[in-house]
Amino acid sequence: MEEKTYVDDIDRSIYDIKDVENDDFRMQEGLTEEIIKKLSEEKDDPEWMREFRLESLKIYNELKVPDWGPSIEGLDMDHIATYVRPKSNMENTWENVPQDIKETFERLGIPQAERKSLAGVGAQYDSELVYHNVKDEVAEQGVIYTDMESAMKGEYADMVKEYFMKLVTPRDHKFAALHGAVWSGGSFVYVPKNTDVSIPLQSYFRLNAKGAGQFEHTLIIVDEGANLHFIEGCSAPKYNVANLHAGCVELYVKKNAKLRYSTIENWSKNMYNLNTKRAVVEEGGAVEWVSGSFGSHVGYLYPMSVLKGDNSRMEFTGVTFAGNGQNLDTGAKVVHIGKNTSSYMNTRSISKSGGISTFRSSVVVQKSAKGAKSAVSCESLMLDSDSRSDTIPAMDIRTKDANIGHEAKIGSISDDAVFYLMSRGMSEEDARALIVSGFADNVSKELPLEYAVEMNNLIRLEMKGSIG
Amino acid sequence: MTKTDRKTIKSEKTVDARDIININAMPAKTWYWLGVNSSELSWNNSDEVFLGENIITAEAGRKYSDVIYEFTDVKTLYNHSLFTINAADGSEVTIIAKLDMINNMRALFNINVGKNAKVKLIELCKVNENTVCSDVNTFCEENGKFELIHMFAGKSNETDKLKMGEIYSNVKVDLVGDNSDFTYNMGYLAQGYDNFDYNIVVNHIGKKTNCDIKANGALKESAHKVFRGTIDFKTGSSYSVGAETETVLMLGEDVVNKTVPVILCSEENVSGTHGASIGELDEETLFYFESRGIDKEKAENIMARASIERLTGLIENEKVNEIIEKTLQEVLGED
Repeated sequence: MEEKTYVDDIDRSIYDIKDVENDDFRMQEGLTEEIIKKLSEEKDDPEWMREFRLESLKIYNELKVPDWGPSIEGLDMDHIATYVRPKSNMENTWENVPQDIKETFERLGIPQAERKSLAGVGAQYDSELVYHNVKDEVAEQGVIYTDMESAMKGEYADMVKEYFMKLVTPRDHKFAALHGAVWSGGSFVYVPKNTDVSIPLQSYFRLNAKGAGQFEHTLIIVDEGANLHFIEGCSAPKYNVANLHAGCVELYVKKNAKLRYSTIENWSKNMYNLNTKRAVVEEGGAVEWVSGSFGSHVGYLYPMSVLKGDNSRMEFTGVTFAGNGQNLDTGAKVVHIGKNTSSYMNTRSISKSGGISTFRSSVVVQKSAKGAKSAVSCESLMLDSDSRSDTIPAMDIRTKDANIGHEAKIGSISDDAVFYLMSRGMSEEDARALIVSGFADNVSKELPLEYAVEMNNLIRLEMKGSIG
Repeated sequence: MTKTDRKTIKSEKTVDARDIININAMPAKTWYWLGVNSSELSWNNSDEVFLGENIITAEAGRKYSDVIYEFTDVKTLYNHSLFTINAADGSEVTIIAKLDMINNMRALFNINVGKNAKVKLIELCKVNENTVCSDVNTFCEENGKFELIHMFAGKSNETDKLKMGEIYSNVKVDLVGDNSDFTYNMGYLAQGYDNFDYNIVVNHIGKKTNCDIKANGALKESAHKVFRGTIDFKTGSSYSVGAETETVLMLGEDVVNKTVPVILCSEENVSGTHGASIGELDEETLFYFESRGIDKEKAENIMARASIERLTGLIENEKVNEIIEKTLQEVLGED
């Protein structure tokens, strides 16, 4: 009989520090037409947006809760505040951000990262952006990086109206409809034709309010021949009630443009993360997703790429780490429409201490997608038998002129590898952590150095205390 | 052909089918819009005729030579047949079932593989304009070995949509005993508007259980195929190994291929793998044929044939291999 020793995960330190709630406005909990009208009024929405929200609410009430993924029974919309406005206007210098909020972002390393390696930063606290800034040289290139509300009401209003929730419509699924009804915050990015933004932009989303939801909307348009790397980070302290994140990301990658979208998601373990991300890629364009999912109690996350233009391509590189109390259903979707399109998914899942990790994917190759190529590779690591790891990929191929490959593996850490490392002086815990870090290096090597370090730290935190 | 077209054809073809039966459900669902979570069978329960139960009992420690069962056609449109195979401890039995009928048939096989017993089931299934449902449920005890060989061949062509053949195959194997083993080889050829729909579920329950699933097939013209393969490692199935591979040769302009290879795992010390390769003849293979004077069309036919023909290498019985050869000649229209 093998014996295993389990020790609880250690505190997630900086992510779990709670600020005292000092809101300017907190919407009453629940989801009714009156609440949506009140939200629209608070946001001073244009009329079309008010109608859009109300229509989305109608759709939300019509659609069923999905029954194919993790249970979201613990999520009661009657106990979620959909809008919490912090006591701060959106600032473009950190000095003007209220001290408590500024300290939170400093602990998370956002201002430091901005100084060192970013072209622009947006920082959202609960439902609103509290900081937004873009470097002068990037702004001079004509790059627009602003909050969604300003974009919707300012000179880019027509552009926002043209693109907003056209790629992810409220009819897509129940939580896309919810997003359409209650969205607030988020970023708008436009990169002009043939503009190369050589250093990344970053938006960071922090949800501090207990029992609240965050519904930010990210809309990025990378025009013809342009290039952008956008980084998204998110975290929240842990409460004993459910919090909800139902954001939406819409990416438009124009002809011969390239967009890399990186995410390190570290929501607290009381969070229901029901996020929707989608990109449409035109001729010769490319979208690259890099995704690390570490937090959340329940997660549904499958970035989707629509390869509409000929010769367009996508890559998805992801790692998911499900620990105690987590049920993370993650993966990716791709639809090949254009000719000679290509897609590649490369994912790793790790399950530990009763965590449940599911890799779910779909590859759809339409009849028009002659010459399409797609490869999916997913590997899962089970660190104990209290956990669970499932792999549910699907392929729907409708042209003979396609080359589709798929491979998957599920297994455990090799005892031989642990023994080898231990024989060279490592503790068992460190040996296992090293093997897991190596297992997830598909993602870490794709991230900027600072983020790769953060990701490896998260893995070490998660691995701490598991010996088996 | 769009989804709506196919639905219309099905309803025209099965005007007398009054019931819609939900079958081939996956143990783990995925997005509904993919249309793979289960399938709908158009049937007529009230007119279904039960053709009787065939009980095959293999006594402990005895070895039986091949038992061949040929389904004979009956006049009734909807038919149902039941096979019960009990292989007692240490016995060995091979059963060959041949289905080549005009009317619709549901064939249910309930199999119990005792300790150290071996059961080999070879099901050769050709659809004409009919629908065949094959349901194989197997329970394997300690050291029990179950080998299943499936041949599915369709002969419809694109000239008449209503002459499409349909196969629904559901295989469920419970590897309950330690060291129990399941080997599955499937070969298929779907043509015209044929609709082939597979669901394989292997539950690893005992320790050191093993399964190996290999599905090879070819789709021509407007054929439609769904392959669902689930390997489920239950808690306690430590040191078990499951592997699943699928190769699909896409040979028609309007073929539709759906593949869902699932691994479910709640046990740490197991190894599960799956791989799928889907596409037309690769250039290297094509070049090989062309350099030997064989054109693309002939090369494709050779490869389509090979998807099924490879099964003959797994079958020792010459008579059975002759049936496979004859079936291939018939469905491919060879002289």
